[in-house]
Amino acid sequence: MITLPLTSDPYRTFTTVLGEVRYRITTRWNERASVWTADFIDAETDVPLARSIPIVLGADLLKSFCPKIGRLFAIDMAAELEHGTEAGVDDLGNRIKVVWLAPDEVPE
Amino acid sequence: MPQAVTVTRRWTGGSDTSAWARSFDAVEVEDHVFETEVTDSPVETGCSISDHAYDRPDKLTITAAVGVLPPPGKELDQYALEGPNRAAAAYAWLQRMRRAHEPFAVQTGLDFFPSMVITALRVKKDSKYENILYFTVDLKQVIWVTTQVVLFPAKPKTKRAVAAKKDDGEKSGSDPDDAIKVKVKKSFLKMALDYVQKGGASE
Repeated sequence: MITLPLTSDPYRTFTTVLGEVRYRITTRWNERASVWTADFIDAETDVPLARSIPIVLGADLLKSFCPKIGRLFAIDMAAELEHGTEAGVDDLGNRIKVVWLAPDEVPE
Repeated sequence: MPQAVTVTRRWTGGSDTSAWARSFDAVEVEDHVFETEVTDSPVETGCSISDHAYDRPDKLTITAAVGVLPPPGKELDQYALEGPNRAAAAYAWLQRMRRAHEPFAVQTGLDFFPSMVITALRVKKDSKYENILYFTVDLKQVIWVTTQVVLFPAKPKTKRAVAAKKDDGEKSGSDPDDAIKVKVKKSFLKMALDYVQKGGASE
């Protein structure tokens, strides 16, 4: 389980290792939809694996896009599970944390 | 030449500084057309239905004449054409008016039409009309409309729009603290519970 090093910079890219794979992750704030999105690109081959995944609460974010990357959860650190508030423009990496789990990992 | 119905009809136009008016020696016919269009929409069964009506531009067809010389025994008004060849002058003037595409006002025996343009000019020449300009002119109303310009305030730049792409290079994720682990576990369990309650349909 890894907490992704996200920030609220509205258009940001970085490279990180998840499991044994290096990914280039780009996060963007979508003003019109008021939602953060993330791109996952294989950093070695430059192949896009998933683009514009909405970072929302209460779901495995990668499930519909690219499950082999793993599981991705957005967590509202300021509220209980059922009462979370979606990430605003200044919330990513602060109130909202995004956690990655390996495909076969079960949280303890 | 046919008997004229009037000689007092006038065409007027121009701005305050260049106002003009014209009348012709004889006006034989003034045809007025006022039309309203009813819009129809066909329906699949039954007949067409009408949902609107609007007025089409008014149309005039005027047949008039101007002689080379003034009509004998008739005093011309101040708007009549003058010159050694009044018929030629009238023809040149009508052509200028047609090509100018500028609306002007027409007074007929029926009504006053403040904004008309010439859409057709027909001139008949034969032995009978050798010494006069005998013409038929079609006029059509120009309907003026205006548009309103509304200035919207400039859309404020969004945080994303003003920000350049930031490349933070290589970054490492961190091990989540206990609070995060608990929340992730709850999320995971909730998803598992939802999955069971839905009978596994979503997997």
